[in-house]
Amino acid sequence: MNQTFTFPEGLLGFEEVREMQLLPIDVDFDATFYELVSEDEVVGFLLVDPFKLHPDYKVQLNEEIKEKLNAEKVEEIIVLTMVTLNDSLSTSTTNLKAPLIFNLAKQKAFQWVDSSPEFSLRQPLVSSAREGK
Amino acid sequence: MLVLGRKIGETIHIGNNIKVTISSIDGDVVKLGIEAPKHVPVHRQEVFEEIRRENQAARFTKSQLKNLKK
Repeated sequence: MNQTFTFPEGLLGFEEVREMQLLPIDVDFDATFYELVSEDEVVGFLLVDPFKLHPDYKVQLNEEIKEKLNAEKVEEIIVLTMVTLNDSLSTSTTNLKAPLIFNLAKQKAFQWVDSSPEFSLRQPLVSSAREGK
Repeated sequence: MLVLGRKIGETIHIGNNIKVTISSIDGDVVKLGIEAPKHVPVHRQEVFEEIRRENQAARFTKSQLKNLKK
């Protein structure tokens, strides 16, 4: 997957960025990572597939989300979360509160603000349970 | 901005399916009861500020990326 997505609403703090490219990257950590970069490469984020890291995580794909993305089928949609890097990935966090939702078919994306209070803006990539293993 | 005066227990309607009721007033704290369809997001303003800050903290540079790549 190496695709350019339109963010019609921009991202909070980066409202001027409307086109970003999503590409998989190979990182030495047990998860699936992507790089999201603006066309001029000035703005970049590291994204992760949150479902493998946090099996309890879920995003309710409601009508508003489907409408925003012009999604006809749920299969068109993928959900990734932003990683805030610390010294290493094992001490880094990801933002489960505001996932990025992509429509692969229409190449549109936006940041969803989840109403559920249980998901953190700074969820460690390595949960304490995993550390114990 | 439209400003409406309301008493405790009184309600305003926004469109056909959103209702905001003044639930209680205690000093400078007003509690609002909000009835809206499930798909209409309702958030405190602070949530957006937090996400803005976290997005800015999550922005990364090419050199950070190089260090991560296998």
